[in-house]
Amino acid sequence: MKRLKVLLVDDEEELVAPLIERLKLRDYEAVGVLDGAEAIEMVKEREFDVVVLDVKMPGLGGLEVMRQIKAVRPDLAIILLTGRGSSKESDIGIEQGAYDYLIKPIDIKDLIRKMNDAVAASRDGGQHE
Amino acid sequence: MSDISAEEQLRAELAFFGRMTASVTHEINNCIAIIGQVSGLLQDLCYSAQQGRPVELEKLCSNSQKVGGQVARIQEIVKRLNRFAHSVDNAVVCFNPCDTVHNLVDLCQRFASNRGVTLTMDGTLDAVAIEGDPFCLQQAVFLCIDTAMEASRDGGSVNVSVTSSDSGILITVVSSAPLSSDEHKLSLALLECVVNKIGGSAVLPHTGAEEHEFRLEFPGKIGAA
Repeated sequence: MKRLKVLLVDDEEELVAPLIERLKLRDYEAVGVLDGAEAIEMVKEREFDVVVLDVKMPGLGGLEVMRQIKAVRPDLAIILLTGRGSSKESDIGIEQGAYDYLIKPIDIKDLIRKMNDAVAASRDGGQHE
Repeated sequence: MSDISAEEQLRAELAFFGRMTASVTHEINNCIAIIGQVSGLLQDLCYSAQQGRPVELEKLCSNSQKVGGQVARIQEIVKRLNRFAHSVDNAVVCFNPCDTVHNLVDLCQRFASNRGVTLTMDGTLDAVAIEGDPFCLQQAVFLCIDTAMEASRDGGSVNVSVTSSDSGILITVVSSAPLSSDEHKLSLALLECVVNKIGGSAVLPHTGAEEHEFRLEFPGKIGAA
């Protein structure tokens, strides 16, 4: 089975690094970047199956990054990371095409389940209900 | 003079307290999220070792240190929040405004970072004390910092300084960006109100100038910390 390619975007380097390692240990191809502009460039240059994107970041915020990613890769599955549940930003994110969101601190099992579901939905051409 | 009602003032005080608390708890939550992932990675590495796979000792050490680093970060954040929370204990108290403003500036760093603004502070006045409400003073300074940062945004800078003046202390908040005309009207009216409440005076910036400066002056005693 093809390994899923994951792009993780969060300005907290100390969060990104262990998460990348944990995903690699679980046989995902994972890379991380620390800001939105870099994420947009990365998506233009490389193929990914899913992007895990922090909503609150300095500079370009997660929702703006998602809009720009969707402009170049409309079918790319995106999962938002947020600090709180049912925030206005995560609701807007879902409306604008994110598959779903996860609330920090995240459980690796939840992340993996959501990533797999998001990629499957994206391949079916559908969104999360 | 402003036409802000007592109810609106109370609401603004609560909103200020709420914004600070929300920001700090978000920051603590980020630390917890990091600790969660690092400890998860350590568990993964332990599992790998149990399965007979080689695990780098260096990786175990560096990740263990990261947990300690985040715990220290949380301790610092909690100390700041605790100090801020206790500033509502007494409406009239003798306090060092420099220490109080310093703590506030530290608490505001997350707001600055989220807006891409560099927030700095100059000046230390060890032997200075003013009598009044430290919470109101922080609310006034925060209104200046928040307005200045909102005007500055991506790549801008805001500097706060506390110095002595003829009659007490002078707090200045300078932004590298112009203040637009109408959008900050409410904050400025509220600021005047808060400053007057604690017996200070404010010189507010003119809109449209290349950079802008808030000047808040409060009566106090130098050499009476």
